[in-house]
Amino acid sequence: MSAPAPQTRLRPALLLGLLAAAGLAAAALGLALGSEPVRAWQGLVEVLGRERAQWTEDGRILALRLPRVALAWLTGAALAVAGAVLQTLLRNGLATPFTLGVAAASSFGAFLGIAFPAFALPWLGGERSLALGAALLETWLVLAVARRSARADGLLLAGVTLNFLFGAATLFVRYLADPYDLARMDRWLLGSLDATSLATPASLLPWLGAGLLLLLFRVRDLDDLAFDPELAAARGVRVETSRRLLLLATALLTAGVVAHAGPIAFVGLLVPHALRPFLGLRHAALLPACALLGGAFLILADVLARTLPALLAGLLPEAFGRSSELPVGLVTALIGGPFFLALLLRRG
Amino acid sequence: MALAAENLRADYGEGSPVLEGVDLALEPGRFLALAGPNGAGKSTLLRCLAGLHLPQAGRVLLDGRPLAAIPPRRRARILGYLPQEVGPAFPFTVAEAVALGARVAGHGRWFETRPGRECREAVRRALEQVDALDLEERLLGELSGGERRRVLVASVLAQEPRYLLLDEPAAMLDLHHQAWLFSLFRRFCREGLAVLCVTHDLNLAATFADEILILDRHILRARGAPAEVLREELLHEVFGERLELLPRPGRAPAVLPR
Repeated sequence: MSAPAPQTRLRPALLLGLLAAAGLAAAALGLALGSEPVRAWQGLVEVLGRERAQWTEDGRILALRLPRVALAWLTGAALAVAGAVLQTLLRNGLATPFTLGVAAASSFGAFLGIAFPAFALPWLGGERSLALGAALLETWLVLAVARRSARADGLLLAGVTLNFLFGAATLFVRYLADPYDLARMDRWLLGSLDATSLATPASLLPWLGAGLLLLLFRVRDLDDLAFDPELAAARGVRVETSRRLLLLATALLTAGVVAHAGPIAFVGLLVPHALRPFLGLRHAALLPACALLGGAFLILADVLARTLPALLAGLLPEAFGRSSELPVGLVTALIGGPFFLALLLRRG
Repeated sequence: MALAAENLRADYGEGSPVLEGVDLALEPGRFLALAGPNGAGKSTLLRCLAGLHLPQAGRVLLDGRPLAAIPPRRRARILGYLPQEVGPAFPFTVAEAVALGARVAGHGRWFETRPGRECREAVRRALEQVDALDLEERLLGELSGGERRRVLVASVLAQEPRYLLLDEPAAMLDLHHQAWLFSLFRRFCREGLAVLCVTHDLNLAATFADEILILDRHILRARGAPAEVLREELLHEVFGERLELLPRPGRAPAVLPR
């Protein structure tokens, strides 16, 4: 019998360096490519160095692309990290940042704001604030139910149940909404990285910062929890406390970005899967790598979302003549689905 | 200096006790084997001693202090516990699995993207002790049941504990490695460790352990040197009639199926 080949992991520092370089390259592409041709470097210099009044056309286009690229990076990074943490926490490689219902609640909040603008508290940012509030409320409910449940899988069951409940509530709001609002809701579900100024990505930073800080203190617990919860407890991990704090961290990471960008699919599922074989379950390496790859991936997906329609319009003017960009969630799903299938088949 | 249980009563919240009035002390240098029929409460007793199950009455003392009052991370540096079943949710290499134990012993900083040299050396030492150094780079899931079990024992040894609480560490091991593992525990005890080990193999226990404890229907039925405990009437009462004892001059009798 021949011995199986030893498992080769990569040096984390090397991989993190490569991923950071890939992120910069993706950002450069994200700034340079789009529906309009632009001298990206010239524009970037203007945006970062000159008064708005002195900007040329290049500067004005870059001033629109820069927040978008920043929002894409933050959103991709946050979803990938949240996905990796939840997969470990639920000990299930099919978990996504949305498995425990954060996105369903977020959609419910956003739809409520779209259908009934009176609820949307315009001075708080409209439907986005409702989306955020609903996501945080849902997380609190999951934690409260799981805490009172004696079952070991209480967290998963509470999350999945609330996911369905908020899904049903979302359908109810859709049932009440008029056709124009329905179209806006569908657009929201497909995800969008529209950002008109750097204030949008900057507004995510407190949520992401709080989530990352929690993760930083619990990153070692994740390694032990991925291995075996009973052994983790024997090794000094306060398993239940840790689970709750880690879930809260993923909710903070997810709620903020989903409220802005919608439930963008597949980043949180795919990225951890792509990296785990090379880094193992040492989350101090895995999570930063997920952030870097997730950010780069979503920037590139957004570049495709912005440039594909122009290309396709040449081929099928009737179908693509009107829209200037595809929803980014559609692109991630279209790339992510086949890529994930390929990963599964290769390992199987 | 001991890990002691006093008048322990434990249940899982359904009324009927899993342990009732259990007293025991595990002193440094001692090797105790815990045996008993399925469902007698052996694993629960081990979990109570490891601080993972809070007894409903009685208490567990570690070196004279209530176990529950010791912070979990400090407890983990003193008590090494191996559950009956360990199920990683993702593929771990052998070295990664053992490194989780080595980290408990303080080999490694809080935030490291890969194990430092000190940790890797601790991992090697632990693997060497269970004759599994050649498995270091393999995936845990690819190993045979016995190899896996040895690696898990290594991951607990890497914690460098003073007390070892092991739930059927020799399950799935071949005969050679069973005897070899128990003689390893014997050696640890000579070096000052204390070992409490659940096993179904009374002959293995009789050959290597200082004392055998028999747990039956939630109470500790017997405790003593192997020759004292392995009596036919006691074993028939606990395990049923389908076994017999074969006397061996100068040693504890062998237990055989009938």
